[in-house]
Amino acid sequence: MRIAPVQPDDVYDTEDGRRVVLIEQQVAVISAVAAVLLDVVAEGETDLDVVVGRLTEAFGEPPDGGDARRLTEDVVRDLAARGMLRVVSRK
Amino acid sequence: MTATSDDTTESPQPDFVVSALGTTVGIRWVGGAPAEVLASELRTWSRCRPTDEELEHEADFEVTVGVRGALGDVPEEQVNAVGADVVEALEVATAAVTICAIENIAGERLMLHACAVADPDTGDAVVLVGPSGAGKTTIAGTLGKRWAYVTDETVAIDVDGVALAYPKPLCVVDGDRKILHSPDDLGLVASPAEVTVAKVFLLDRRPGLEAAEVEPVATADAIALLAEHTSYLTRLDEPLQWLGGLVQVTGGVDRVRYGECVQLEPVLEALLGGAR
Repeated sequence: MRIAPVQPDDVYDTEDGRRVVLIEQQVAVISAVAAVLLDVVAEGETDLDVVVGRLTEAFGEPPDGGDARRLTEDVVRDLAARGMLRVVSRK
Repeated sequence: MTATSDDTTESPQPDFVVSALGTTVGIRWVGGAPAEVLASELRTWSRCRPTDEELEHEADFEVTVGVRGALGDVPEEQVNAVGADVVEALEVATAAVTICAIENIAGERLMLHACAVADPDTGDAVVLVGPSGAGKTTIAGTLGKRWAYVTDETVAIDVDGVALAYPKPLCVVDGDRKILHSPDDLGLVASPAEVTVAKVFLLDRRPGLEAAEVEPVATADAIALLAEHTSYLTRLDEPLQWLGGLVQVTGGVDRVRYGECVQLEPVLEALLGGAR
């Protein structure tokens, strides 16, 4: 999967790591994980494996034996549905 | 908003002019209004009189007002505020004035749907944000007897946290009607022209609650919730920075749950002192 950034109209990072995003006249709060994910993707079109690596580096392995790749895909899908990034290739 | 009811070359003068959020709005009755109606309307806007300096210039906007069936030759669609009777026309006109004002300063100030009261001496203000039905006018009409009545509808804040007072008429439900009242007639304390926002609350009215409950709202959630109660937010440069700055400078936003507005008095007393 390859992911591309979408430029938000404004962002505000808060002390708890979460981020407020204004995009397309909508204001939304995203998690600290999602904020880091967007930072990684903001550098340019990015492969999901790179994103998974960077998130694991920042937050460690998921608890309870969770699958980092699957969890990252979930966040990507959520952010894509909210117009905050684009999935340019599913492969 | 400008009147389009008269296409003649001479522009008719407004019956009177009000100052709303730094914007002057001329109000002109179409079809004429009895002198007692004009006197009453002037009184309801008693706290929003323009300064001599503002009166030196033509009003920024004009709102035409009239009663349906008594508009003379002017088509209804060309009148900004039409009511079934004088009372309804005045209420519609008040909303039209506010719309003119907020459109005029869009992009210059952060505008929250909120009521506010202030310490009349220091100008420190508490802003209570909420949607229609959250009790803003009732709160302003009650707490404004103790602290200065800043507004019951829109708080327009600059980048330094200074807000313009907008002590407009209060629209109070009386039976099945809404009646405009002058803040003077309600005995509300006069506000300084500008106030400094000291605290922001998100209103959560819970009928039946016996005492007010206050809880802090995390910054990210506060920004998102405040954004829901703004006008022309995206006309500001970096609108989230405005909201975040307000949250920070006021020490964080709290949610206040309350049943009756008198329950808010101890909450405000802790912030503004006893006043009156």
